[in-house]
Amino acid sequence: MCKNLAILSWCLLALVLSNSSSATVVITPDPLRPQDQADFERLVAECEELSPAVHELMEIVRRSSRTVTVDPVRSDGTAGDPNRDVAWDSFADNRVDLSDMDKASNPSRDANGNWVFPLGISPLATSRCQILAHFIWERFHAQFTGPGNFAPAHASGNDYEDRVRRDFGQDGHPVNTNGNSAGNVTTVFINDDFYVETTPMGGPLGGDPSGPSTVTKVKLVCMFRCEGGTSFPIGADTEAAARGEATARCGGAANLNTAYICRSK
Amino acid sequence: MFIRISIFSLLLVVLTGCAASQNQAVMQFDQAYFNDRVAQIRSAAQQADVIVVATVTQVGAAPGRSSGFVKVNQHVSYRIDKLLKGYYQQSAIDVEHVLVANSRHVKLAAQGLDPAIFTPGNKLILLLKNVNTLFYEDVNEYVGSIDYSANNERALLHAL
Repeated sequence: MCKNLAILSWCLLALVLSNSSSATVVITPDPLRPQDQADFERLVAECEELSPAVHELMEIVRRSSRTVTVDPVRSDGTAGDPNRDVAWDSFADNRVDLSDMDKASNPSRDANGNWVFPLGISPLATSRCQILAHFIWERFHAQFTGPGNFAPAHASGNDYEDRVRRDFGQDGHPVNTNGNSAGNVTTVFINDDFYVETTPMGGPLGGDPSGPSTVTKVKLVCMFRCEGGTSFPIGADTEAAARGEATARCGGAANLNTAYICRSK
Repeated sequence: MFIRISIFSLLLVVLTGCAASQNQAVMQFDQAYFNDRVAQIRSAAQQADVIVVATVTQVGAAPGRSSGFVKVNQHVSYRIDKLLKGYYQQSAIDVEHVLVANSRHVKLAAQGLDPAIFTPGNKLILLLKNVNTLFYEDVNEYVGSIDYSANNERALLHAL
C-alpha cells in the first residue's frame, strides 16, 4: 500500500515540477557588494567562452529545476576576516572567495592556437575555470543526493574537472585535493605519472593563496600524518625521501605517525 | 494545477503517516535529530565499510577551513570498544573527519569539529568508509557519528 502510494506521489511531484519554471545559478544579492556579483558573473562568462565543458555545465544548471546558489565574497586572509575560513569556496554555505579565484589562472591561446598559461605557471596547473566547474557541479550534484553527501558530490566535482582540463589541452585527473594544518593545499593528480600541485596558503589556519602553485612530477604519492594532526599527501621519487619530507613537516620523527601508505604507478 | 497539488498533498500526508509508523516500529534513537534521519542513517549504515563503538582519545588541530573544491579533514583518534560491522582487527582507529560548514559535526568551520561531540572521553558510534586502507572517513557529516547509548546501538543495528 505504502509502496504504491510512494510511486504515485513521486509521479505527481514530477508533474508539478514539470510545470514550474526552471531555475539557474542564483547569486546571493548583497547591496553592499555589487562588484563581487559582477565579478562572479564575469568569471562565469569568461569560462563559458573558454571551455565548452563549463558552457555545457551552466546550460544544464540553467535548464534544471534545481538551484545552485553562489555567495561571492572577498577575503584578505587577516585574522579578523569573517571569510578567512574559505579556501576558494565553502560547499555548505555557498561562499566563493573571489580573492582566491583571482590567484588562480586561466590559459589563453597563443598565435599557433595552443593553450598557454601566464609565464611562471605550470601548463598542468589547476585553472580558474576548473575550480569553478568543480564547485558548481558539486553543488548541483548535491541537489539530487541531499544533505550529508559531500563525499559523492566532491568526487563528482573531481570528475567534471577532467572535462575542463581536456578543453585546455591538459591531461590528468585530480584524485585528492587536501588542505592541511601546515598551511598548504596539495592536489594529487594522475595521468601517466603522479603529479603533486602545491599551493602555499597564507598561514597554518585559514588564509588565502599566497603565491602561484607549483606542479611536480613524482614517482610515489604517500599519505602521512603528524601525531594529532591531519593527513597530507607527499609526492617523492622514493619512499625514504617522502618520509624525510614528512618528518620535517611534522617537526621531527617523534611527531610523525608511523603509519603511512604509498602508492606508485 | 490546484487539484493536482491538492491530490499530491493528500497522498503525501498519507505516505508520511505510513513511513512514520514503519520507522517507529523498526528503530527509535534517543535523540530526535537521529529519529528525523532514519532513512539517511540506514543508507549510511549500508555504505559504511566499518561501524564501531569507539571512544575519542585525541583530537587533531583544526585546519581552519571548510570543504568545497578543497576537501578539508580534521584528524581524530579513537579507542575501539566494539565492532558492529565490517572487518577491523586493531584496538584503535584513526579517522579523518571531513569538515563541512554547518553540518552536525561542524558548527563554525574556523573552529573545526564541534567539541560537544568530539572531545577525549566521548563515546560514539562511527559509520566509516575506508579511504585508502590506512585512513578512514565518516560516511557523511550529518549522521556519520552517533552519540553512544545502548538504545542508539540497538536502533542502529535494526538498520543493518
